[in-house]
Amino acid sequence: MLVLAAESTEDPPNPVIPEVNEIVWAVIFFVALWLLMRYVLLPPITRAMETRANTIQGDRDAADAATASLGSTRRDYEASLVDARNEANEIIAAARTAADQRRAALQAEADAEIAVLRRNAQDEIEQARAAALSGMRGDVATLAVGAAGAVLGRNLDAGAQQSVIDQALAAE
Amino acid sequence: MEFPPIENVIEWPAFLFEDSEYFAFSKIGFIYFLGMALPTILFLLANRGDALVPRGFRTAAEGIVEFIDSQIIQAAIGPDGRRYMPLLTSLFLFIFIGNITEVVPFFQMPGNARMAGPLVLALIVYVMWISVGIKHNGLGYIKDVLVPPGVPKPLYLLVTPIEFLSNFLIRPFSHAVRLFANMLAGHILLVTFTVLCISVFSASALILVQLGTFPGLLAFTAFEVGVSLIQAFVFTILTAVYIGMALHPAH
Repeated sequence: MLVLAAESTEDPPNPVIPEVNEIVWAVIFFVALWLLMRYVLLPPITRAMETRANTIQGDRDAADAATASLGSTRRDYEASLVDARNEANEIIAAARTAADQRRAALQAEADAEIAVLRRNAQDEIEQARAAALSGMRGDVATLAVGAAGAVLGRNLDAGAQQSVIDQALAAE
Repeated sequence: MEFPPIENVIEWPAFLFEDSEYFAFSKIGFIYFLGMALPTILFLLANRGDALVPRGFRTAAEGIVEFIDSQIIQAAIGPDGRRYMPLLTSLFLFIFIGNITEVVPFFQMPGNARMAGPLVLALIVYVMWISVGIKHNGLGYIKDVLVPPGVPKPLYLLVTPIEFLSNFLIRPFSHAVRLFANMLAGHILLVTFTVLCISVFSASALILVQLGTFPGLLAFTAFEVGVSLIQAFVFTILTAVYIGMALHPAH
């Protein structure tokens, strides 16, 4: 009875007071976990994460460098394109100038040649005209002397009448 | 159904080393063991296979490490706090597993609703941040804490005892009690709602009340899952803050 009475009046254990055995196991298991994390579990993971981060950063830097290089290459390309365009324009202008000069020279040569040809042709025409006129004089004189001889009923000397005929033709 | 006596929450019979005062192994000890074993298994599984492209367990492990780094270390200490990653990761996982057993069937008891776990962790952290402070700032660290610069000299009579109490006595106690009390309160809340739910179900034809109690129990269970996570986070980030203050007392 006394024991039962003692048990019934005994205060319940204070929940704030820790049990020794629980403290021991908490220390053992937490320190074990801490040491495992420190030396076994975390290093491979953090190393892999750092390697991956470095790889990503390296790739990102390479991409940035490539982008910068691309910009530089593009600027160089555009500059060389401008140079090429300027050079092409200069070549075209020079070719145009040379062509103009060549055309002018050819034109002058052609004009001179045409002038020579024209002069030659004119000379030939003059010569032909003179020859035709001379031939026509002879024929007219012959016909006129013949016609006059027929009218007069005698033979006329063409040579003697030549001066008359020439005067008549010249009057024409 | 009657509310169980408080001893049911406090007294846990040992099932290994029953006769030993120091090594009696109860359900609480087993929860602490899980707090060590589950993270160990997770990280061992994570460390197998290809490290370049994370999958499965590695994704989970890297997610935890990334979370600790970005949300705790960088936020509370800075880049030089990465050396404390093992301690902070161990704390977070050990506490979270010790809390979440509150809603795991067959356990239904948070290991951190017992004072031993939070007290051990808070004392380890206490020793840790004082060591860090002395290591990085010499014994002048203690002076910097107790005699903060920029205070008018007469006020040191008031400030120094307050700083001593606040930093060296109350801080570890509040660090431990915050976790312990939250988890014990959550556990009692769940027990209360469970008892209420069973009592209402076995009582009468109050259908509407029955429909209200069980969803309420589910909601509180979900709430306690969140509390488990938040308390693990709070304890760990406070540890990081204390270490950060010890590293950079001028800040």
